[in-house]
Amino acid sequence: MNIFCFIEDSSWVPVFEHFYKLLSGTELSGLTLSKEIAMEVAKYFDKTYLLNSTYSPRIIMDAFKYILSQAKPQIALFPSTNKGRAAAGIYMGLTGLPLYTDVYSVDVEGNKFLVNRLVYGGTASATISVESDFALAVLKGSYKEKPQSRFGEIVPLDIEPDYTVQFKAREVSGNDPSSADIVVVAGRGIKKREDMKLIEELAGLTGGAWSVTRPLAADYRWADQWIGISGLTVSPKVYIAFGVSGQPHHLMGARGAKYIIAVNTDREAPIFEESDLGIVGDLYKVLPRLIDKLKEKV
Amino acid sequence: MKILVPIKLSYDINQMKYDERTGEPILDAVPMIMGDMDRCAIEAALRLKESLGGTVEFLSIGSRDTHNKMMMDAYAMGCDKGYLIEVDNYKELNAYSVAYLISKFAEKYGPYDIIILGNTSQDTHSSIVPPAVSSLLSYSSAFGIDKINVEDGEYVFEATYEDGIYVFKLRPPMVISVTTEANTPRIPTLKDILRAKRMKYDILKPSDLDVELELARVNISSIKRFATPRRGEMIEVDSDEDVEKAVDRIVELLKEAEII
Repeated sequence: MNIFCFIEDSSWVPVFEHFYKLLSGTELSGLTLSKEIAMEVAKYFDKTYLLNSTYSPRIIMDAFKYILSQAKPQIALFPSTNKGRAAAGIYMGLTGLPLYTDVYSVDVEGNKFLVNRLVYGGTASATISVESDFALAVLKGSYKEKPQSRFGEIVPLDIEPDYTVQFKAREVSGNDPSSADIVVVAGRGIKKREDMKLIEELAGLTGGAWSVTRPLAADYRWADQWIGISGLTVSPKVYIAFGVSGQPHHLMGARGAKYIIAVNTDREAPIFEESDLGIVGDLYKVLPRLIDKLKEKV
Repeated sequence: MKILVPIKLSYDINQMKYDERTGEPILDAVPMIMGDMDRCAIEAALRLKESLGGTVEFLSIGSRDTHNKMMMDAYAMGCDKGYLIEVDNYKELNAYSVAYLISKFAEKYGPYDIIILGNTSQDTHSSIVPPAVSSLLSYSSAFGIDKINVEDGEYVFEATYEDGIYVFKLRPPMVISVTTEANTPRIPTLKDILRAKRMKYDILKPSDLDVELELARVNISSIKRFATPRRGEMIEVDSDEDVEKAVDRIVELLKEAEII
């Protein structure tokens, strides 16, 4: 199996390695959009195509057209992220191959692959039977596989960079829900912006990060990122939610957590169906007391 | 300016129901709706028409029986003309077939200056049909747009991705997809809804679009409720003592997870 990947950054290398083994890959190639990333990852790929440009759909389309004119990968892998899905869709349009997103595992059955993907807001898993050739946009999971060293050739693509697109990188703050062991999450049960201090304080005391649900970020502008299908997907050891009801689109970003703790006044809130520990009660009583208790211990 | 908005009838995933015993979804009991992002796509198209002039057409793939209400919803919002491509068992079509039908439609009924779609559907949330349409038509494109501005014939689109904010500047013809951040869709008045009921939409078959290839379908072997096993321990908090008990259990769990 000749497998091609769209490498958004080096954190995807173990993920692609995992699927490469599952799919019995024999040759691994990839596309990166920066020299730094190409240098970092090249040794884990037989061939790393490099197009040094800011991301844009135009750049991706040009790169894929060139790569497909050179080689016909049997399987293409993409990150199930915003850019990864767009790239995957462009690839599907160019090749006509079946493509499935939100893929978390693949089983091999004879000469068929059974692709397991999340659907219906992550509340269900669908198993889809495919044969070669196809494309998958895979979820990050937490694969620790050490990638195999490979041939490591870098192939620069002679394609004009996209100078029309502007990119402003997210400010790197100390608060990074994607890598934290515990993520403290505020939902609409938090009544005032000032009360976010309590959420941030608990995150600080536990050495973790904080985040919010979409309405708090998109409607109230209390944060510039949120957890959920259109935002971040996190997989901390502990996800602790205050005033979060647990809509499917939010929970899809949180299910990777080892433990889910939820505090909510509404005992019918859907989040309790997916919690290890559910507290039916007023977060304004529980949260300050929890903060005091942890302070006593320090 | 000629704008096309392809829309999808999706399961309302906020009302998913599962068979307790088998874990299989009871899809007949789940209402089907126009997705939130599809509504935002129509709204974005209507606003462009209102400021720049033109027409807004919409397109869906499915059957008259199931899609009629959604088609009326699109008219009630203010769209000028609707089309429905009738396909048997439309729910099984794979994403490529959907993108292919849309692109064939756009070639035959266009050219369209802008094709606007919702970034993700409500139920399968793949976000892959808009980019596939763009590559099938070789149009400029930008996806997951939160903000739209038009400056001297140039369209400026802002999108927030995992690593930061991207600003794309494009000129028609183009394919774009919008998120729910892009706008707040208008709510039709009773008058709009009554007016929409008198509107008709054109019905076509894939063969009317010279689609000869067999439309590929998704070969699903099973769909089951996806749930990570959880402990499901519950504590009801009424008194101050309950608060203590709840806080103690949280602290114990934090210790077990080696957080503290």
